[in-house]
Amino acid sequence: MKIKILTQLLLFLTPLVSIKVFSETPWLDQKYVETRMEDLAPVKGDGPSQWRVIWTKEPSTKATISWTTAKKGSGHKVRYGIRSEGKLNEVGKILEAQRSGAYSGAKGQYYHHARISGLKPSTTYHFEVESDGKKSPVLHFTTAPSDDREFRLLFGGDSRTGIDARAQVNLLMADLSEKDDQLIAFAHGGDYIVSGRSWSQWSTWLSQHELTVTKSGKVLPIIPTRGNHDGGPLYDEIFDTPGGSGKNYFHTMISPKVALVTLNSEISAGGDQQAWLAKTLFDLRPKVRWLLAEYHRPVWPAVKSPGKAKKFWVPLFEKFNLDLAIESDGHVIKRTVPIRNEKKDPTGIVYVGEGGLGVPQRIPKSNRWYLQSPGMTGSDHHVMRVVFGKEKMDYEVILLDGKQADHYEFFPR
Amino acid sequence: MSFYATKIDLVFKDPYCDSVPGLCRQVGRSFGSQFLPSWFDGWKISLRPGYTIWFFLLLASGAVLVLGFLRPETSSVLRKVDFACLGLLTLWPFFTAIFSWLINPGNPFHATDPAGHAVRYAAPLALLLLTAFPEKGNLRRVEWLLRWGVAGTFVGHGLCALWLKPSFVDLIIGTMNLFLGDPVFTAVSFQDLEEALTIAASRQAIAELALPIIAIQDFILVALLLLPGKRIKTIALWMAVWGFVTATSRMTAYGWEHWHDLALRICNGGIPLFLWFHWNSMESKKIS
Repeated sequence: MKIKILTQLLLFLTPLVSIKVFSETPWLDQKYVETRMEDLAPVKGDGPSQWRVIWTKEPSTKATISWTTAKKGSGHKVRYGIRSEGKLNEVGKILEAQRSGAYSGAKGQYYHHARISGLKPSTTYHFEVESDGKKSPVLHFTTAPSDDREFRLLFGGDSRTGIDARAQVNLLMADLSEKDDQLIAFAHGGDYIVSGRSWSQWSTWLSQHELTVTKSGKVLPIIPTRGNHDGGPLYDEIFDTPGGSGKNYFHTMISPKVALVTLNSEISAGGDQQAWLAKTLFDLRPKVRWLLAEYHRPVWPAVKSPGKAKKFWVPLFEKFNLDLAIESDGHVIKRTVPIRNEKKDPTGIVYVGEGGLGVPQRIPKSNRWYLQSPGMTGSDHHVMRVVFGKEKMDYEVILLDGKQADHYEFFPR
Repeated sequence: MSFYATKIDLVFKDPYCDSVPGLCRQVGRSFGSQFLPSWFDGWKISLRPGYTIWFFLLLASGAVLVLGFLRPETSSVLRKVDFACLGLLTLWPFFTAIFSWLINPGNPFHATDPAGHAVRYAAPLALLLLTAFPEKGNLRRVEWLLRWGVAGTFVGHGLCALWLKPSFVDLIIGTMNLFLGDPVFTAVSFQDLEEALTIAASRQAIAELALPIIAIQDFILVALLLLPGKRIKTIALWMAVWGFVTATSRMTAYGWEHWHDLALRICNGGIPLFLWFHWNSMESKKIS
C-alpha cells in the first residue's frame, strides 16, 4: 500500500520538479535572473570584465574584441586562435589592444579595443583577454561566411530601461545562440540605456551583456546602432567608434549575398549621410540577395510620428528595393505591410521592429493603415531572428517565453 | 495624501513615463487600477487620458477664439471658462517643454526646450493676464512678458543652431533640395552619384556654416529686443519674419504635409509681429 502511494506521489511530483529544475525558460524565474546577475564578472581590480565582440564592416575577416578594466593597467592584450584538441592552437596569436582610454565620466574605468584582422571566414575563433596578467574565461565567436551558406542574425532595440527584463531578454538570446550554430551575430537598434552620458548606466548594460554569452562561452558579436538616448562620447568609447567619429553609419557585408546598412538617425539624415546611403545602395543592390537597413527612429512608426529621415531615406529604400528595414524607438512589436509611394504595394518595403530588449512596452497605434493585416502589431519583450537562405529570408519575433509572436517570409526580388 | 504622493512618485520614477502621452497612460493606469474594479483593464483606460487631453486642447483653443470675440462679463461663467481654457493652454506647453528636457537627460538640444518653447506658453499667459487684469498699467508688464517669451525662443533656437542641431542642418539641406533639386534622387548613374555626393557635401557644409551665423544673429536680436526703455520696431519685424521663415522651413524641408509643424510654431513669428503692431499703434496714438 505504502509503495503504491509512494509511486503515485513520485509520478505526480516528477513533472512538477522537472518543470522547476529543467525549465526551458529559466529566465522567467526572477530568482534565476538574480542569481545569474550575481555571477557577472565584477568591474574591479585590474582584471578584465565586460567583454564583447564588435562587428562593423568586414566581419568575415575582422572583429574588434573589447573589454573594461577598473584600473588603467599597463598590458592589455587578446590571445586568439582556432581551438584544436581542447586547447587554443599553438599558433594562436597575441594582439595588444590598439585603443585604450578612460571612459568619459567614469571613476577610473578604462576601455580597451583589440582590432583583429586576417581571420578566416566561417571559422570559430577562441579568445581570451588579458589585462596585467589577469585573464577572462576562454570565449569564442564565429566569423561571418564568405560563401552563400545559410545563417541567422538576431535583431532588437531599446534595452534602456527595465533592467530585469533586459537581463531576461539577454538570457533568451544566449539560449537561442546556444542551440543554434548558424546564429552568428546580434544587431542592436539603439537606446541601450536612458542617458548616453551616464557611465553607471552603460556599465550596468555592459555587465549584463555578459548574459548573452552562452555556457560554452559563445559570444554573439554585436553590430551597434546609435539611438536617441545614446548621445555623448561613451557610445564611441564602448563600440570603438563604429563607422567613424561623428558618423556612426556603415555597412556590414555579412556574407557575399547579405548586406546590412546601419544608419544614424541621430545626426543629419540628408546631406552626407543621404548621399553615402545612395552610393552604398547603388553599389550593393546588384551584388546581394538580401539588403537590409537598420536605424533607430522609425520612418513608419507604430507609436510616434515619423522620423525626419523619412524624406531623405525612404525614396532611396524604394529606388533600390531594400528587402527589410529594421527600426526601434517605439517600444512595441510591429511589421508594416509592404510600402511603396506611401501606399500598400506588394513590391514595397517592409518595416519591422520598434524595440523590446527590456524597455517597458507601449500600446501600438494599430489603426494606422500600414499596420493593418497582413501587417501586425503587439506589445511584449522580444527579439527578432532572421534566417538568410538562398530561397527565402525568414523573419520571426520571439517572446521571452520562447513563443513566436510573428513570422513572415521574404523572397528574393 | 501619502497615497497620492506615492502614486506621483511612482509615475515620475517609472521609466515608462518617457513622454507626455506615456505619463498620461501611467497616471491612468496607476489611478485607474486603484479606483476602478479589478476587471477593468488598466491598459484600456491608459489610452484615454492622451485622447482626452488632445480633445480638451482643441476645445480650449476653439473656446478661447470664440470667447475672445464674445468678451464675456467679468463675473460670468463664460469668463471663468475663458480663464480655465487659457490656463490649460499655458500649462500644457510649459509642462511639455519641461518634460521634454527631463526625460532626455544629457541631451543638450532637449535641455533648451523650456526656453525654446517660451512663446508657446508666454502667449496664452499674456492673454490670461490681460483678461484677468485689464488695467492699462498691466499692459507694460504683459509686453515685457512677451518680450521675454520671444527672447527665450530665440535663445533656445540660437543655442541649437550654435551646436549644429542635426534636424536644423536637415531643415537647410531639405529646403535647398526643394528649390535647387535633390541630386541624390535624380542620380541614375555612378557618375551622377559621385557628383551628388559632392553637391550633398557642399550643402551640408553650407548648412553647418550658416547655423552658427544664424545663432549669432539670434543672440544679437535678443539683446536688442531686451534693451530697457527701447522699442526697436525693425527688430520686432525682423524677428517676426525670421520666426515665420524658420517655422515654414519645416514644410519646405520635410514636405507640405508638415503644416502642423508650422502651426505649432506660429507664435515664433506671431508674437514678434504682435509686438511690432503694438509698438506701431502706440506710436500712432502718440502722434495723434
